[in-house]
Amino acid sequence: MNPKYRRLFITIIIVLTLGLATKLILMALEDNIVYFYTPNDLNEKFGDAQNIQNKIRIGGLVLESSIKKEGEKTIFMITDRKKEVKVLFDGPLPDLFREGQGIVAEGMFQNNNFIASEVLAKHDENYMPPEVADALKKNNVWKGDSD
Amino acid sequence: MFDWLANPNRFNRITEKTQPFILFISIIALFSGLYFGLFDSPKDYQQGNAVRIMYVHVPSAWLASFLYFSLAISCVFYLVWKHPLADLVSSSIAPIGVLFSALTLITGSLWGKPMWGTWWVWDARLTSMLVLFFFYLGYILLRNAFERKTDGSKTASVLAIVGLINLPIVKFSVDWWHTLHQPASIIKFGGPSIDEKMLLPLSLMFLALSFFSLYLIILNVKTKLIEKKCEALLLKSNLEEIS
Amino acid sequence: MSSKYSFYQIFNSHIKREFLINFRSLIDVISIISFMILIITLFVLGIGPFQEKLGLVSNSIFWIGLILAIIPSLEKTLQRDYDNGWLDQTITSPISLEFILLSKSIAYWLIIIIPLLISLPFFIILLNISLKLIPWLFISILIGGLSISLVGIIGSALTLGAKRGNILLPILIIPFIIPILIFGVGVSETISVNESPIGNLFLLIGFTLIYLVISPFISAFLIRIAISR
Repeated sequence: MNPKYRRLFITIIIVLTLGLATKLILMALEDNIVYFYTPNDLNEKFGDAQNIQNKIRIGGLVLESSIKKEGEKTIFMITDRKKEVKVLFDGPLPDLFREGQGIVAEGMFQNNNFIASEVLAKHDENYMPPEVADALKKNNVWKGDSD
Repeated sequence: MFDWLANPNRFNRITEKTQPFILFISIIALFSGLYFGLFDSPKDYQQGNAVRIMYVHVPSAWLASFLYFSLAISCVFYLVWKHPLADLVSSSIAPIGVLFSALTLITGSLWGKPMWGTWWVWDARLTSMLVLFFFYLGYILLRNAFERKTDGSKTASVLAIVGLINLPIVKFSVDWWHTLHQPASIIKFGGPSIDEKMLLPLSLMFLALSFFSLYLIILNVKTKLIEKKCEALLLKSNLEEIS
Repeated sequence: MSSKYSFYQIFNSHIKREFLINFRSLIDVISIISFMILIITLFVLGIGPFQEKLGLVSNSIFWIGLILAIIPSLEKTLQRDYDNGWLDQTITSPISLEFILLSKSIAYWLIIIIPLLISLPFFIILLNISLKLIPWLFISILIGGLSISLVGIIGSALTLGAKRGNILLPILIIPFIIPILIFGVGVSETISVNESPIGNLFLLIGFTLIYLVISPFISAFLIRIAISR
């Protein structure tokens, strides 16, 4: 083969391979490699919670006025505003744990209850003083706390 | 512009004048940033006082990524145009990059314990930052692993350039995956989602730390230039002795 | 390249050469396999040999064992050719160095993968890996092995002529192997919880393709630096 054509040929192969690689990676990223699932993800992916045998992580918001204490045990609901999951946890909660807070719980399902072995708080990307947050809440332009 | 700066004598002359200013700006920004950050900025509505860790954590994280980018770019200059000063620059950046990526991991860990409830999680952001730390470390180790210095410089430069793959992963990991780490607040669509009173100390600290690292880099390069001169002189006197 | 030989012939002769070198004395292959068995033994005894605990981590142990067992032999792959002058000869030949390195990594891949796949049933018994995982484990090792050998050639070229190269090489290449480990384990992991492994498999293939393209060029560049000393 003529060197000029050979170089062109190799370049085309390289570009095609890289293109294929990018395509595959982007397709896979849509499929989501996730650190945690939201309750709605779980529902879409597995249907019933009974199907989940192994350890997973659930992320979402603590549903308002769902926190109950039974001695050492804390019972609350995680929601993504579409679906909810009941979580049982006995152990120390992080400081940020409160109603409406984004959290990630790690554990297993037992009869539709999620037995968490660890609860981590996820704070959002909004940084503001409490007064501003209150004002925003009052004026109904609140966008935080989600996700 | 690079070629023009690449003359060691000119480099020395220019930095001689600018270096005090750089240090001055960095110190002023550091103290005002610390003042605003510690005393005159509000608590966060969620995180309370712990948000103040951000004023060290975020600038360090930016610098760790930015310094790696500059390191790799200067490695490209070294490999393509073969200018020795570019190699001195990248080798001077590396230890400072190690410092800032370590600082990012440590302060992030200190922030994570009260906020998330754990020192460390293996999510994409934290893991890719750890990998960045090891790329800096690998660069330094590989550079010093050869008998002849230029061999080490060239080989390590290639490693640094290949390591660039990691930077977009560090930056976008929080957008691509659900991670425990919160998404970007400053550089994003629709403007920053951070209160102005908090943005001020953050910017000041960033200014302070970046000027301080610039100062350190220049100091480092100068030291290495002198070292090289000493070596050359030593070689020359040895040759004269022989002949 | 002179038109006397086709790509295929050159490729073929290199694969043959590597096979002859590596299989003439089976020591390398035997040591990789026995090292892997010992790493697995360490893991199992370190974790505690309880079936339920092992069931959760057996895939990961297998992968880590695989990676750790391959790493020590990587340093030698190019160093040997460098020491005996083969690389000097090759670099002056009209055949492109990139292509030779590509054939070399593919040959190396076959050399480590074939014995591993033959001994796979043995590892499956040792680690009590469930039967439905076997075809997927097979595929992911096949793809992941290629990645590891491509990255390994880069590592081998990076440490060519370096002091303490054997300790340096793992530090340099493990960051590049991390994605392979994550997605390789991910394939089996998703299967074991009855999910689709396609996402992980695509990522594994994607990374392997990227390495396939960049590895020969980077290694060739590094070898030219090493030879020009």
